[in-house]
Amino acid sequence: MKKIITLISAITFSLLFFQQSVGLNLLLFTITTIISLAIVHPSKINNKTTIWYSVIYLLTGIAVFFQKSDLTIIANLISFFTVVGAFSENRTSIYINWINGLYSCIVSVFAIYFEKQNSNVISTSNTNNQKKFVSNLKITIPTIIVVVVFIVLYSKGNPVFSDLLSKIDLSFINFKWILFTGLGYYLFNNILNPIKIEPATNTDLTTGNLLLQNKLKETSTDNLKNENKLATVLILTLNVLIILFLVTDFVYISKLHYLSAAEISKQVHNGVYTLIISIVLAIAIILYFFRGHLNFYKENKKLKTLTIVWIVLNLLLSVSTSIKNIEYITSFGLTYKRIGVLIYLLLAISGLITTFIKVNQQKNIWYLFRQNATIAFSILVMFSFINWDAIISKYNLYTAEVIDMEYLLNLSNNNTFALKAYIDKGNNVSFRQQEEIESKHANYVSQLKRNSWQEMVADNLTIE
Amino acid sequence: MNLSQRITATSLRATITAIFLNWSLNILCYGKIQKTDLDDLPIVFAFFIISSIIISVICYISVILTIVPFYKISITKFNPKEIFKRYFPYYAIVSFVICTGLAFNMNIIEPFIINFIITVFLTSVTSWIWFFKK
Repeated sequence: MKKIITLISAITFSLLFFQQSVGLNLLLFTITTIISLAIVHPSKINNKTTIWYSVIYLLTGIAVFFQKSDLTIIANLISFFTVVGAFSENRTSIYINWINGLYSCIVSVFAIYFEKQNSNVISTSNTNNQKKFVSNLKITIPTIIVVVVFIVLYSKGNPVFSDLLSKIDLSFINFKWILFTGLGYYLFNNILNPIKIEPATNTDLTTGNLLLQNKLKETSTDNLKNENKLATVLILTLNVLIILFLVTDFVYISKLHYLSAAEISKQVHNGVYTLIISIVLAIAIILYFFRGHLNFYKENKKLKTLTIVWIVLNLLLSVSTSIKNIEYITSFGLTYKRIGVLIYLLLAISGLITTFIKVNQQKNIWYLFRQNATIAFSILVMFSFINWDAIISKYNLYTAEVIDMEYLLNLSNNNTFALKAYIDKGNNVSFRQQEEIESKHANYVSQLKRNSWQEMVADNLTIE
Repeated sequence: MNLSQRITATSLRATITAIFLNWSLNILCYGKIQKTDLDDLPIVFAFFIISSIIISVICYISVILTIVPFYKISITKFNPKEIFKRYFPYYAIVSFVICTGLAFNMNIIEPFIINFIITVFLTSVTSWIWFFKK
């Protein structure tokens, strides 16, 4: 059964991707993968986590069909590894799913072969499989021969049947196609036999989110006292420093309207770089001091309060940078870099919040990794549903104070219809820009018309 | 099997695999041999011999540099099967990422380059299996 499904999936893979670019085929590949995995591993698809990841994977496939972009393809690929990883072990953290998924996809067959070769138990399954294979061959080969003989006889006896047979075009089958199908077979053989990296998976499964005092290495009270003092003084000093920085920063923000574009740009970039270093350092310092016994030390209340204040001040730093970035966007329009800054701020804020929870509820470092990896994955998936090129174009054309048409023209084809609609409404653009928009539109429409059924995207439906 | 035997056996198998894979993939991709090509047979044969020597040297060095260190470091703590299970997944992932990165970053997308990268990846992965087998 598994071999038949692998073979069907491999042929489907080849039909979908051989000499084709990405489009509807990725959505169909997504569906094929989920169905194949569900058929081969019915017990694992009943799990809530696996169902949830499969739905996310399917949604990213749909996102690729509706707005093909690098972001949607990356989101689909990562979701693919997540699903395969979940089929190998669904109780692990999401980053272990990614590693297990990637490992399964690339070398599962080899790892299983090694396991069989080096197994201490002499299994009878190998000889059983060989017997099964031979008996299958005994059934398949005579059946194929008899069917071929009858096809030849029927085609000679019935011209309509013969005509029907001649219409079947098998010219696409060549060595490259067979090689590609072989690649598909290898891929599906790996996917349908998901394996896990045992040391990493077992460590992850046995590690909870809570820091356990009895599992920590023993330390003297004097050491703990000194460390508590050092941490309190250091974080107090850092708090004073960040307050000073924030006061000057808010004074700067109040004058933002009077600054030139170059000055605001410099400020936003400086703010982001400061924020990156500050937050990474802040989290590293907090993790260092709250790595062990200090979490359970009776006199750590001052330190905890100072740490929480520092986290809140770092959050304020994120807010101040967001304000600068939003002000910048309002004046000079949206770009991918500016959206990237907002996404970074979102991730920084989530990192700070999870660090706050870690300190407050005595969680371990693995809690931080798990939560932040899940948050990063969720943001990636959610943002892949948004047609950024169209949003950037619409915002810049209709809302922003300054339009950088060159930038919009250099974006992917996902904004072509937005640009065309803008000039069709009679908005004022230079003759050269109008020509470039018309040319981009014409090229895109002709490319859509040339698309094979595998390469079709949602825009194909709008032009017909 | 001692270490030198493992290295020799693995390098030899890796060389044969790499030669077979690379040549068969190239023959499959570049199509049929023409009648006129037969005139160049001595040159092709010489090229085959030279490339085989180069491949065998590369395989030997690769085995010594990328597999033996894992064996040497861990053999006192773990048996070969355990070493394989502990390090092979990461080795496979890293070599896959490097090979994919190379394939995507090549300016010239020629089948022979892709074939070479496929050969490198598959040979390195199978070398681990041979090296650590019982």
